[in-house]
Amino acid sequence: MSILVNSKTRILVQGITGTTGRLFAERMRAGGTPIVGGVTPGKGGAQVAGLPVFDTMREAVAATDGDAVLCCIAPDHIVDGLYEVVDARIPLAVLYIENIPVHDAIKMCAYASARGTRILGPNSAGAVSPGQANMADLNDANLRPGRIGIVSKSGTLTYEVIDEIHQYGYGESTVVCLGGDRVIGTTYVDVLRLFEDDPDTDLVVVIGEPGGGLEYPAAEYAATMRTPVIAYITGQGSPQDARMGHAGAVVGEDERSRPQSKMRAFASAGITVASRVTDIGEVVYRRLGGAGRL
Amino acid sequence: MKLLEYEGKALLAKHEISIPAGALWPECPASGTGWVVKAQVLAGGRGKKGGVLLASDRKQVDEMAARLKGATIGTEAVHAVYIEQRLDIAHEYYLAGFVNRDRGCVTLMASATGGIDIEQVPRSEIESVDIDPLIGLAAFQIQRLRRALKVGPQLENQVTAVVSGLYRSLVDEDAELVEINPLALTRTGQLLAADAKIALDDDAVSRHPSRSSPTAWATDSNFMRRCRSLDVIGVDNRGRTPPPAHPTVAILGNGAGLTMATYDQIALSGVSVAGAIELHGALARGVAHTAEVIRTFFMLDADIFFINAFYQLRSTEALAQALVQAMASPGAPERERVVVRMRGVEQRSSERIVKAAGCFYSPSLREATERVLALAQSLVPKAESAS
Repeated sequence: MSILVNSKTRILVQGITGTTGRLFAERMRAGGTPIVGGVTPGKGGAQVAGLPVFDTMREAVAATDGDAVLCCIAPDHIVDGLYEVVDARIPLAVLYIENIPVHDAIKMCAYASARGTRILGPNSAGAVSPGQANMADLNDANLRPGRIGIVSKSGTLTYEVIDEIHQYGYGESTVVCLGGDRVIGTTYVDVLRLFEDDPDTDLVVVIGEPGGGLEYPAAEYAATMRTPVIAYITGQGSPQDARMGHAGAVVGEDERSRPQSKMRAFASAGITVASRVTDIGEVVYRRLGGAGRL
Repeated sequence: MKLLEYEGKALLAKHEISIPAGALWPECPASGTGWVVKAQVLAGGRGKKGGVLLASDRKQVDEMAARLKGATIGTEAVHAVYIEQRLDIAHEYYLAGFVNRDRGCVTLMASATGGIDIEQVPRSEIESVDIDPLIGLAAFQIQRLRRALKVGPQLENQVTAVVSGLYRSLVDEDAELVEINPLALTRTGQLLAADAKIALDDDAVSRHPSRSSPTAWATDSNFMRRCRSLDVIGVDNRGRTPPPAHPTVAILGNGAGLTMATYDQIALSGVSVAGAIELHGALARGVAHTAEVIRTFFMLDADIFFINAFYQLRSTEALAQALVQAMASPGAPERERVVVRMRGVEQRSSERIVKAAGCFYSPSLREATERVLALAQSLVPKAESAS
């Protein structure tokens, strides 16, 4: 099993005729991900990667039973685009786009959550359950089906963590990227709850970063889980007040936003904390005592 | 981006929040009550560091302003000097609104105790109200904040105006933080924003085309300005106190998470980082653009340049080609001082390109980090390495 996406998910791409949307659609198709079509207003009837393109989300859902959307449209159009996704009652939307104004993110997250659509992002690299469905910018060639769950704000950092755990013989059940923006639709705790109920996840790696405080309830919840959790917090050396790429990852003046404080929160909840990204493989291996390897 | 006090106040005035009469020195507002001479810096606590002075005549204003103009408050050079009419204050309140990241909404905060650092005010004396973005600011919420300020009904209209203005300035101006501390009540019964701390959303700049760029940016390094114009994220530590110690490493990464993790690999090993660039989608704009980014990267003047890129959607090859172009430009470092780790799409051909350019290449972050640290070790001044 896995969480959020699997072989039965029916994926749509919003903005499928754009450069990014097309790239994703072609790659999903080639990799065997269950993609069923896409939407671009005014391009209904066209085809991309052999898949039907629709004018509206409602039409796409009516024709394909799509139940997850990868949103690849420009920041100027994303608010309306997301409202349309929610209106079509699609339960999962990945907002891949970055540089969305934070007040737009606030509105989108509030509307989606009120109407029952789960948002990953904004600025999320997506979610992937290797061997089943890849709704992320992670490449199938760098993934391996397995029993480790990963939840991270960052996409590129998961690449590194995946490389790390592969070196120790593990693979991934699902990798979930929450997005690097200041306000995001899905939290660490939301994802940890799903992993806790997934019989095919043996351990979860939580990857945190500077800024905000979503890691604190995650540490608290992780302490109550049956599934073991390990944590790594990046940005420990980042200078104060410097934006390092993610709009959200800024070490502020407040103690709570600092990686060191978050590491302490996990450690005092009894969660093992890896101090560097290149230590994660070994920490996982030690925690599981070598079990669950492929 | 953070605004200086005078820029923040102009923004508040636009939303019908009263501010004291003021002008940027050498101009000076008319006043019958004396003046306050205020150093314009971004850091808080300037009053305690001698950045706010009281003047009783114009001559004093000019003397104090001239002195502050060339001064440094803490570690920050004064950007400008703002002169304000001195207020006759009866009470100081606290009022602020910010993007509450953990709760995913705007939160407004008010306290009857203002004029001091809000962290020093007991939590029980601060009212905090979350605003539902789908509904907006409700009348009862304004009343809750008014009660927390403990003001009488005679101020009701003014409080309503200032709270509504605060909320509008947050949402309409795409601000992340608007803090009025203190919100001053004068003896004549007027509520005024006596200070303003505002941070605007970098991602909403294009929605406000008429806005001029913040004054504080004028003192940014050429490196930071180049980064901004190339749409990449730059970090320049060279102006920080204390400055990075030699040997220094500059870092170029793709993706915030990976760039931060790379930064940690170096900084936590005790080696100084001169600065960093996060490519932030630069690759999508082609090889020439990316080469320009790498040339900018070389402006960091570090002893070692560490490039760590992991691409799973786009090809690493374009980055390798951009590196070759940048290495052939004037100002490029010796190739022995460039360490490259590239992983992902078309990694093998990138490896060939990077190696042909004479730079160190490894697909492994661990190995590349070790190389950077060994290089740094070899560059440590002799006297130090002996101790």
